[in-house]
Amino acid sequence: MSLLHIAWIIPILPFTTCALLIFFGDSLRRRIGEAVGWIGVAGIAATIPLSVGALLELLSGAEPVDKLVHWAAIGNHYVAVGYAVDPLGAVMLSMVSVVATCIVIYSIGYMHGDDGYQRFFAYMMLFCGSMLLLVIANTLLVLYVAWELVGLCSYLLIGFWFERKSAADAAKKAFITTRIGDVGFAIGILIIFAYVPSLYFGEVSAAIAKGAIPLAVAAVAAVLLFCGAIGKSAQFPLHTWLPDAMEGPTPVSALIHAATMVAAGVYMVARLYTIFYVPSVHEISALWGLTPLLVVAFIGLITALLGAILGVVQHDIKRVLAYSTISQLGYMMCALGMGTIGFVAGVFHLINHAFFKSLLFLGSGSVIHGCDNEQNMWRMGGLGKRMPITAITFWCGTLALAGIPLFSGFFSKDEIMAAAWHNAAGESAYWVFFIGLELAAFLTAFYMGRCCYLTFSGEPRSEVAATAHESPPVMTIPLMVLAFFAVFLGWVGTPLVGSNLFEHFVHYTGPALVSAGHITVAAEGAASAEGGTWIVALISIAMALGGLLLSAAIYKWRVLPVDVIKKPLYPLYLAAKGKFYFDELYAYTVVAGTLGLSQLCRLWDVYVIDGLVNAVGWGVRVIIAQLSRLLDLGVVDGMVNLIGYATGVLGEVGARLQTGKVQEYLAGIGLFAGAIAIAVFLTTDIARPLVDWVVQVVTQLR
Amino acid sequence: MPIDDLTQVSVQLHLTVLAILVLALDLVIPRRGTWGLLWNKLPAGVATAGLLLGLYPVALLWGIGPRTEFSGCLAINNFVLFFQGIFLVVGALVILLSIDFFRNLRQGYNEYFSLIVFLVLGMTVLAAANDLVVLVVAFELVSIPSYVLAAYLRRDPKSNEAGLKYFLYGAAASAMMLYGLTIVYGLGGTTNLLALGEKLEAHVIAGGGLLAPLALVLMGVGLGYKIAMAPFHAWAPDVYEGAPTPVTTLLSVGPKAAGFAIVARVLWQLGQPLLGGWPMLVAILATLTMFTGNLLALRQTNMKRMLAYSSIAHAGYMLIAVVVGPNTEWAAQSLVFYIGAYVLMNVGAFAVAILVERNAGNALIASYDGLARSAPLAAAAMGIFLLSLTGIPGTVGFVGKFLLFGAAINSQTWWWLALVGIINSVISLYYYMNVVRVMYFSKARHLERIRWSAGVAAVICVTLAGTLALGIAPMPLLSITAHASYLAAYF
Repeated sequence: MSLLHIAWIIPILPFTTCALLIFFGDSLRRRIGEAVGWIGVAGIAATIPLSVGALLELLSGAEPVDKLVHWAAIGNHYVAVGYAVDPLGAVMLSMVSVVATCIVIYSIGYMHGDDGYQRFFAYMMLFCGSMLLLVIANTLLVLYVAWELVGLCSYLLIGFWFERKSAADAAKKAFITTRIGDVGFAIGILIIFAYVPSLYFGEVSAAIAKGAIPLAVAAVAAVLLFCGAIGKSAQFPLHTWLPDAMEGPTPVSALIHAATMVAAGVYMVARLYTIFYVPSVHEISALWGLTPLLVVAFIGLITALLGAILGVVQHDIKRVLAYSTISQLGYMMCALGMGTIGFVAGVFHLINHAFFKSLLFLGSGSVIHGCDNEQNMWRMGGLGKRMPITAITFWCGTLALAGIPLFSGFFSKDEIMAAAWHNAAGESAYWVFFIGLELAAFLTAFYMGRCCYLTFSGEPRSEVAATAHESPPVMTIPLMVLAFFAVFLGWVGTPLVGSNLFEHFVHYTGPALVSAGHITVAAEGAASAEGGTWIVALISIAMALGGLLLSAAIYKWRVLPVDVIKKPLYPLYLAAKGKFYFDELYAYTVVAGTLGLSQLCRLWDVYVIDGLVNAVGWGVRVIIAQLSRLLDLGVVDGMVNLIGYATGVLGEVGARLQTGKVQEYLAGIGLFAGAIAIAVFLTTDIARPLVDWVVQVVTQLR
Repeated sequence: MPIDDLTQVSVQLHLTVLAILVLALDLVIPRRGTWGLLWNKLPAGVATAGLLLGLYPVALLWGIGPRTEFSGCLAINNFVLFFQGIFLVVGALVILLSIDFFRNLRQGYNEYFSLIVFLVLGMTVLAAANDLVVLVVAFELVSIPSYVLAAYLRRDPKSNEAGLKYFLYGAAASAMMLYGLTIVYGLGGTTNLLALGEKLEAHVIAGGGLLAPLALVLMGVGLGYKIAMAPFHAWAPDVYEGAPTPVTTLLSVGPKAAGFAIVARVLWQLGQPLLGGWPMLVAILATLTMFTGNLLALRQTNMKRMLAYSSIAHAGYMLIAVVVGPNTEWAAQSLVFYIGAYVLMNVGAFAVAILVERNAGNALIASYDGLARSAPLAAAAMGIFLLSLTGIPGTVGFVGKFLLFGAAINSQTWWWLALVGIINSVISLYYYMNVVRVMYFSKARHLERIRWSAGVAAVICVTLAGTLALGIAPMPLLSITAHASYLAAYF
């Protein structure tokens, strides 16, 4: 039995564990204590052999699997569900299951003693199952369901400590902000549904390649789908929820808001690349003259720069990492916007980033745990001596993120730069991407250096930092495992050792039917600029080292005062301190607008609708009351019980008919049958003369 | 009569033998002594197993039709067979619900089970009736055991009242229907449904008259009473409330489903020649039925009464499919699918109601106070059944409503019925969720703990599994119902 063909079991394992923990979590915890967390570990760890096994099978040359079953069929219409594991999916599956396992093990230490301990693991399992389902989805329907499920888990886990108002607010903000993007996502799916009712990826790709979906429509659908990614992956302008999401427990930040869920937007664009790619190579404009891929690239570039700038001015260690995540997701998006070579680079960066960023988050969690929940870096310092394992692994993640050569981030980031460089060689307007991304790389190295030096070097700047302690092994061992990947994973995608293994395995295979002549965006650039790779690498290394050195000069050696950079850029500094005022902008426009609209609706409801209803109700009541009085006078028995009109006129009339007296029921049969018969009679041709006569009499009377 | 014919009625033959066997077992097994234990268990067990065994001949006949047997008296086709399968399952589920409920009944304990089998037999004949005479006989074969069952708790005045009311109402309605059938026979000169369609067509071409529409209206009274269609629903709340709850369960799904089988076949066959505008008439009555059921359910404080109004409302939803008719894609399929879905969720809801009633001693909604704490599983099951009755996605009720309303929209003419249905679903949300509110958010706690019985637990498990599984993956029932609704299969 091939592991690929039982890939559908992968999400079921965590889902089952979730059900187990939801229903029996409380009693299990009473019986076996905190060992209940290990049930969660088992639920996710069991997916590793299946995912990695599927990956190895694909590596050894097995055919990708793509299965479809009818979920519901009505007449000739059918809705399909299914699963697919191809190289892209297998790499994601392996990444998700390995990272999630490390993080869930770490949580056992981190969540120790929490009241909602078993609830936490239940939610985590729900998330893992949903995320794995998202990865193996092969129809837009399943993708959408999983997409919303991970959003729900994000909401539940950000607000895990919902008794804290800030956590509850952050959860709400994250959910609502991503929903705004999801509206676009849903409309995009519906547009595609109009052309391809099965929503199966294979059919969608084929329809686009054959022109069954007009390219102009596909381009619009692509941008709408991308709206979902903007929300989910915290891209500009919907990035504001991610820093607030740090209110959740740190393992949640590591798993959902660094490694997996926020990368789902990037994964979705990669998964549905045909919808973006084909209109782009035909240079179909989607928005303001930009092709879908250029829209993706620009949003990515803006986000990468924005996140990097904001990362520099944060005091909270987790917020530095949050802005860094936003920035790196921007990198990935920008890479995907660079065409087929960028596709490989973006996905590669996604995988590498998942490992080193979850490492950094878990490291920050270890620091926070050690410092008695202190998150402000200015109240830390000197922790390197007290928490050696955390410090060393954190530095591994930092060097990988900064793009220091031979660490994993270097290789993927370098490839993204190379993709931008190649495109720029083909068309000079692409220089903006190269320069922008290099600038962001410099800032990345700077803020990560700042973060590390403030936290681990120098002298303790507070009581808690002076008495900090190293975390228990259940937390440090996952750190070491992730650090291993952060250091060495890049080598699978390096051009230094012969061919690029990663690119050889994961690459955009293209819609089967695209005519070769149209591919202009990336391929030409790639052909003409093969020689520039070393220059790109050197520039990137210079940026990374420059950023690190500058931060060391300011925050470690203290040979430069902060004012050296703060003074000349003071307006920018102020704006960045205010997070570029996005929150305020949204508060005064979107939030205030929504509140105003709802206020208007309320007024409309209260004064117009309720007024109308009340008027009608009053009128009907008066009429019914008069009628019933007449009835009362006429019918001696029965309808005496006028109980008042409080509970609604219609219900009252109906209830009045339900007297419980069988003789009235029987009379009712005759009366109603007679009434229906008369009504029917009046509509037949035979009654026509009678009706005409009545109409005539009435008109004469008038 | 060739012996081959008998295999065509093997379902009915099987049930006849089974009913007599159950009666005989009651007489043969001594009540006292070592056999006493067996006397309490064996007939019920045989009846349950026998009813489920009846699914075998149904499966054998599946796909053989469409054809008619016994000189055109009985129709054999997948549409009818699907209903017969439903009746067998309903019968078995109701017996499981009854075993504990009637435990203290010393008189007529085992006759009860044989009456249920007889009732199921009546329903299988009614669904298959292809002749006016057979229709009348089957109609009474369904009605008479129903009257007896409704009055089965002889010492309970409410049960007696229910039986008597049901009997009087049923007798009057049957009389009206019979009158209508007489007129139809007079106009067409035959009692065969198939032949009647053509004969009546000729009558209409010849000039028609007032008798044809009158006959339709009179038939509508009897058939409408069977499915509890407004304005002929008045008996339902009183009977449902007074009858022993397992019998209420049976009445709310069994005869109603049988009624729909014959309503659909008669209207689709004879409606057009009798009254060209019958769909509009039924559409208006469907609207009336939905609103009556849902609006009156809002005020109920008794669970059984609330579910009675709810079952009236569901008859209104199902009438949509009858109106849309056999010529629109989905319509016939949506009717049979909804019947299946309705059986699952309604029997499930009644099963929990029986459980609570047995423990609380009454059927008031107030008894559900804090049920989520005293019996979390029962409360969760009830919640899911009520969500399904509302039509919330993830449950079989959603798929059923989706098909019904989809068929209405698909027909274009009757799109407004979908709108009415949706408005009514919203109204129904209020009273269904009121029960959930009481179970989960009420501070008070009426029951301390719940004593389960095996039969009720089994029924809840089966219906809950069906409600959820078919709600998430409806394909198995969809494919069966697709085969049960081929246009050629009606006669």
